Amino acid sequence: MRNGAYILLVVVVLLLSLVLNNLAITPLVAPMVYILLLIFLPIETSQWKMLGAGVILGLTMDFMMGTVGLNLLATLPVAYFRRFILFSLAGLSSVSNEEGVPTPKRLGVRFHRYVVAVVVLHSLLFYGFEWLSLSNFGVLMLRILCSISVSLALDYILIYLFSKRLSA
Amino acid sequence: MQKLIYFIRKTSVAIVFIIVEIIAIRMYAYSTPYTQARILVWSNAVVGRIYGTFAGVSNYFALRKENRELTEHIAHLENHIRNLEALLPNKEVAASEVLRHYDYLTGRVIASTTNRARNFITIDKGYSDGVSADMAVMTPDGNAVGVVVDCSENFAVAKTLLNADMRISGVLSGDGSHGAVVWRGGDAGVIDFEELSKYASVKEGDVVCAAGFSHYFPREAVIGNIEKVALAENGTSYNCKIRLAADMGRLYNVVLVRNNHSGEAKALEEKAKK
Repeated sequence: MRNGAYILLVVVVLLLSLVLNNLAITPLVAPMVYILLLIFLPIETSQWKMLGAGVILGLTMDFMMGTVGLNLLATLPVAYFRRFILFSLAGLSSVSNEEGVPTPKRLGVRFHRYVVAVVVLHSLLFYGFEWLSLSNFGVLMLRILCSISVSLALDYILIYLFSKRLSA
Repeated sequence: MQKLIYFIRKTSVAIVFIIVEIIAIRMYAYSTPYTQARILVWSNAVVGRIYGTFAGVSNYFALRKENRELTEHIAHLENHIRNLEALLPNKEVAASEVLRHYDYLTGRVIASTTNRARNFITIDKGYSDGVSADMAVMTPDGNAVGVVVDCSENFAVAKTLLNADMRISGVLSGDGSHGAVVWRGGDAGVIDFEELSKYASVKEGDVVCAAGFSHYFPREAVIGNIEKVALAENGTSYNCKIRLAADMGRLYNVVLVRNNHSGEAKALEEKAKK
């Protein structure tokens, strides 16, 4: 049940990423939802597996979006520091031995802190590196804020749709 | 020794993370529009059909507007041809000269971005249709869009004017002064027109066209209209804002233009540099 739901989530996220990549609203909004695939990996996933998942996801998105290393360099730190975010920023106790897919039901308020921290870290790295060649810092900050807001809104729609199936 | 092995074991994940991250940063730092286009061409071989389906749906809803614009454009061109024919003494010779200079192909945009620092469009025509790198991409009504960077058998990828790596020469219509057209991010409908001489007679609403010596666009390709004029900080030139004539977010049909003389001109320029 959980594996089937995760495969469905992968398909939905990849299709949504293709659509979002070609959605021409304004350069100030460039939402990304694929980081949700790392967010939904089970809490007990080892650091090696997280790193492997980060590399695969980053390279896949680079391939789909036609970027060279940009998605990989933004995704990898998220994969590596997810454990730190879960246990420190989100306040998960290492002695509580919590396992399974992180969901709002399982983690409560800590889940929301975890999602926001992951999305913010990923967005700062992605947009920060992407706009290195441009000089307009004000536009960059506005772009990061707008994109984080829309990304979080889309992430929460998917979280609402999938968290029950994934935790089953 | 055992301590060293223990240390490496304990920190191996961190070491691998740092190495892969450095590789990713280097890949990104040394990437060029060409490598990006190359990746897009590969990915289009896989996801091109999906892009084509999305484009088909959005094109369907834009058909009415597109047809009206094309009809108006055909009528305008018909009038233009009649007027030119009336002026030319030897029509056949003149027409063959123009045809020899430029090759025109049509294509459909199946994927595009406007919300990145380096934006590209994917066109459903590749080298099997006669498309090649360095061809100019224009809207059917003659507005500049971008330049083809790379193509596969069935698809071509072009960097648009909304690409931080794109820099072409523009000329102020009427005045004839030249400047550099470059995108600095922000609004997808506005582009910068820099290094324009402070002695140029420029005002809001003036038309900026591609300068013929860029070798990509025909001289009459319209970039846009001047929206804002301001003196540069050093006071020696104007930095203007241009409202783009092509709506980059709504590109459906495009015209690809090959300048048959560009290779010869570039070779001559290279020779002169040596």
